[in-house]
Formats: sequence, structure tokens, C-alpha cells
Amino acid sequence: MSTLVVFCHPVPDSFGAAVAAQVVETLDAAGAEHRLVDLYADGFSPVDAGASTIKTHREALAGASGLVLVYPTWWSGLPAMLAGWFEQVVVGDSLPRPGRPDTSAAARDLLANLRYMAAVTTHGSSKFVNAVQGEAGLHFLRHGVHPLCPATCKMQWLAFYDSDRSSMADRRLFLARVARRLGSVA
Amino acid sequence: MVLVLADDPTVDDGGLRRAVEAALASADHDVDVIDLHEGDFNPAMTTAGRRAYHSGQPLVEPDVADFGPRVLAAEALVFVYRATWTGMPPLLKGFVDRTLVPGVGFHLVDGKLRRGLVRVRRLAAVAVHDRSRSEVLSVRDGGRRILLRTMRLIVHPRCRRRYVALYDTRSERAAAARRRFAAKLDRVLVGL
Repeated sequence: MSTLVVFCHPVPDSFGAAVAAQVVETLDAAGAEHRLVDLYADGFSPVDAGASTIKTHREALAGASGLVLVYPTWWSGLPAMLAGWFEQVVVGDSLPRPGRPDTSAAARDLLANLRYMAAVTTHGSSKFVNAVQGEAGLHFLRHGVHPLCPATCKMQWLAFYDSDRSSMADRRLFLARVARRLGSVA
Repeated sequence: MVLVLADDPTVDDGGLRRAVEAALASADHDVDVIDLHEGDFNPAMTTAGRRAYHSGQPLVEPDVADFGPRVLAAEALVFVYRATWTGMPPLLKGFVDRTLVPGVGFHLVDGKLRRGLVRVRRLAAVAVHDRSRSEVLSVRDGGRRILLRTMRLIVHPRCRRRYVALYDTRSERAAAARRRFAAKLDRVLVGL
């Protein structure tokens, strides 16, 4: 069993990439087996990724005991790229059908082995502004995805707010927080 | 008015956009249509686009270059889409991510958010959900949340917001719900 790290940021030398590197380092330090999926580097298509790509991602997810998402929060939600990953890989064609009350059975099967999931995300604006904006990404993960995971699955929300005004010291503190919090569940 | 069409015209034979067109036909709006399914709009923020994000000239890619001025000229924004699990389709989220950049959607003054679309006094989202209303509410309707709540911080402070939604499209009661949806669509779009 291993941890699947899904990294989504278009700029390879961004702070987001440094966060992903910290996540990988933390998993290494904890001796957790892991696999990094870099959606931008892999050229993943958020609207039509192709059947074979989706199958590969599903196999990786079904075999994972941990899921770590590293992404920037844009407009209070997931970037289109990561939203496209959830739409195609996690739900796919398992939309509601008449006579089947549990509309997410396929997604539940995919997430059945998860022991924890973590969202490690950066927000340009402050925590207050994000609260006013509605935190769509947090709500989606907490109320849309987490309930489909096994009842024992933990969810961690590791958010770096106010990145537009952050100093290097703030960023280092956040990386240390990622190492500490993620290290405790990995 | 800028009308952003993000529904797939091959689904349901374009029924959703025909309903919107029918509702708009009787109204006296000056409509500028942005059809995200037309041309090759890429919903994923590009590396070049992200690098230019804070540069003052962020719309560097040809597929979004003219969206900025069109959205800035609008007094009303209407989004039409088929809702997905994450709320709105990635195509529409990509439009929001890539078009409403600094200098268009908002301005950053000393790192603080300032409104960009101050001309916009009407916001409307027209959504068709396959799921029931209770299921959509249980996952906190990300589409409605972003388009009508997050956007509230960048449009005119007294902007009127409207949400027209059809739920549970595959149930037996769908025909009556569709009639109510069409009536509300007509009322909201004409009166916008």
C-alpha cells in the first residue's frame, strides 16, 4: 500500500512545486511508499484525458492507502486541471441512474483503501477573504470526497493563506508545518 | 451582457442552450456569446499564463486574449452549464481561472483584493443538475458557490445575483420540473 501524491501547478519553479517536494521528502522520511503524479508535466487533459490514462490513474488510486493533493486554490476552488482529474478519474461515468440511490458506488470502490487524505494548498488571499468567498474547494473535499472514503479515513487540510503577501519566513514555516502534520499520518 | 456557454451542445441535443436562447429572444439584451465549446479553449491555466499572472499583461495566450475586454465591457454575466460533481464543469472553471486574472477580474493593491468588474450589476448562473437538490446541497454546490458567492467580491457591491437550476433530470417528475425551470429561466433572463 502506498500514498498517491497528485501535484497540480503549471509552473515548475513555483512555491507549489516546493510544497510538493516537501511532501515527497516527508513521505520518504516516514518510510512511506509513494507515487507522484504531476498533472501538468504528464500533459493530463482536464476535459478528455483518454481511456488508457484514466485507467492508469484509477489503478494508482485504487491501490493507494493515502491520497495527498498539492494544488493552488483559485477562485476558492480546485484549479480546472485538478477538477478535471476528479471528474474523469474519480467519478467518471458513475453519474446517477434511476433506481440506484447510491450514486457514487464506483467512486467509493476507488477510494476504499484510503487511510488518510490530505489537501495541501496555497491561497493568494487571506483566510478571512477565503471564508467570505465560501471555500468551495474545502467544501468539495470535505463534503463531496471525504464521505466517500472509508469511515476510518482521516482528512487533513493544510492551507497556506495570504501567499500574495507572504515572506520567505512564512513559506518556510508552512513547509515545516506540512512536514510535521503529514509526517504524523503518513 | 456576456453569456458564457459551457454546456456540451451534443448532450440532449443542445436543449439547455436552446432554452436559454428562447428565454433571451423576447428580451431586449445586447448579448455577447462566449461559447467555450467552440474553437480550442484550453481550460488548464498554462505555464506562460501563470508566469504572466502578476505582470500587468496577464492575458498572453491567444485563446483568452479577447475574453478580458469582453468581460470588462459587460454589465451582466450569465453562465450556462451542466453541473458536475465538483460543481461546474472544468471547462467553465478554466474560464474563470484564466480570464478573471489581475487587471480584469480584480486588482491587487498591496496584496489586497480590489474589485475588477465594477460595471457588472447582474450575475446569473443557469445550471442543470443530474442529481437531486438534496444531493447537490450535501456536496455544497461548488458551481453556485464560486459563480455567485466568490464572484461577489469582484463585481459591483450591489450586484443582483440569480440562480436558475433544474435538478434530478432523470426522475419521473422531470417534465413538470422542466416546465418550472423554463418559466423561471424566462422570468430571470428577461428581467435581468
